[in-house]
Amino acid sequence: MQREAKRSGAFGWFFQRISGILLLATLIGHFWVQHMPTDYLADEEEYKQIRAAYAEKYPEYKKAVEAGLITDPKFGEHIITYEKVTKRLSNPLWKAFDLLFLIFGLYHGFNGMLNIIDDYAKNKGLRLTLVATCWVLALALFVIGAQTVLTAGPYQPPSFSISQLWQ
Amino acid sequence: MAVETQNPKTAPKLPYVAGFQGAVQRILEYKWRPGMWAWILHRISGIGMVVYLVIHIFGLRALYDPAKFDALMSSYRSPLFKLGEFALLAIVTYHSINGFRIVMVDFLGWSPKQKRMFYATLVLSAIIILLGGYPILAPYFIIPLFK
Repeated sequence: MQREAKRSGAFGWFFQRISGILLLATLIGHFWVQHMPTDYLADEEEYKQIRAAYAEKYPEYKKAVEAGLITDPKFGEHIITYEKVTKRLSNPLWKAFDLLFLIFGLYHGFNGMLNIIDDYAKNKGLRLTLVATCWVLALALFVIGAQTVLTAGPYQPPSFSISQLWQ
Repeated sequence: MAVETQNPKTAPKLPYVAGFQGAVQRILEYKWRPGMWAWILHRISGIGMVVYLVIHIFGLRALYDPAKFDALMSSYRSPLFKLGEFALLAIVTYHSINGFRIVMVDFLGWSPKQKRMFYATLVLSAIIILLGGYPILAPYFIIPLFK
């Protein structure tokens, strides 16, 4: 039974759809906070304030501003900043959200690549090389991405704790 | 990859031509109907997003350092990258909605309506791309026109 399922590709087929639905749900959240003009991005004024404050705090940041690497905001622009991203990720629920997004995205993306390899790469050696590349890349990206999300931002006490429920 | 619907023992064997030439030959033999467009756009956009995902996750390692991260974000704020962000929205939107259509066809048996659903996919994608694309492009390409 299990062998049969593996050979037919039914597992991959089914979970490509399930992970697609889950990915769509998390993608909407990700797009909303990272690409749309909400409080999770800095508007012009906030961006200037954040830039000035960080330049004062970190010499490296000041050097980057002076070198023109951290550019002026455009009128009406909303900008992704270290300050806002790490503030969002100081909430463990957002950390969990981003981790799930990472897992769904990597699974769905690389399972899709395996399907494409299955369709076109008929040579055994080529197939093995491509499949192995996919696995190595996906696992490496998972480690890198999870590390980025988990270590992001200065530690702050969580704004919501489960223990609040019975206190 | 689809679940096999034919018995491999009884299915007619097509002559298989290996290599690049064979691939070109097969693509030329495709029948370009709406379903084929839906499928090939889904596949190409999928590959594009995996390439983007790899670059994106590698780039985000900069999140440990405020100066590096904000400089990286500044480099993403050129007109060219804003067009890229818009293209990303278009690709993601099409792939998502067409994927949703595929799930409806596969899980809810909406296959008799799938051609009409593909046209609905295109219309809905266009609406979301225009609505979501405006805030991305406006500060660089639209607001300056009125200043």
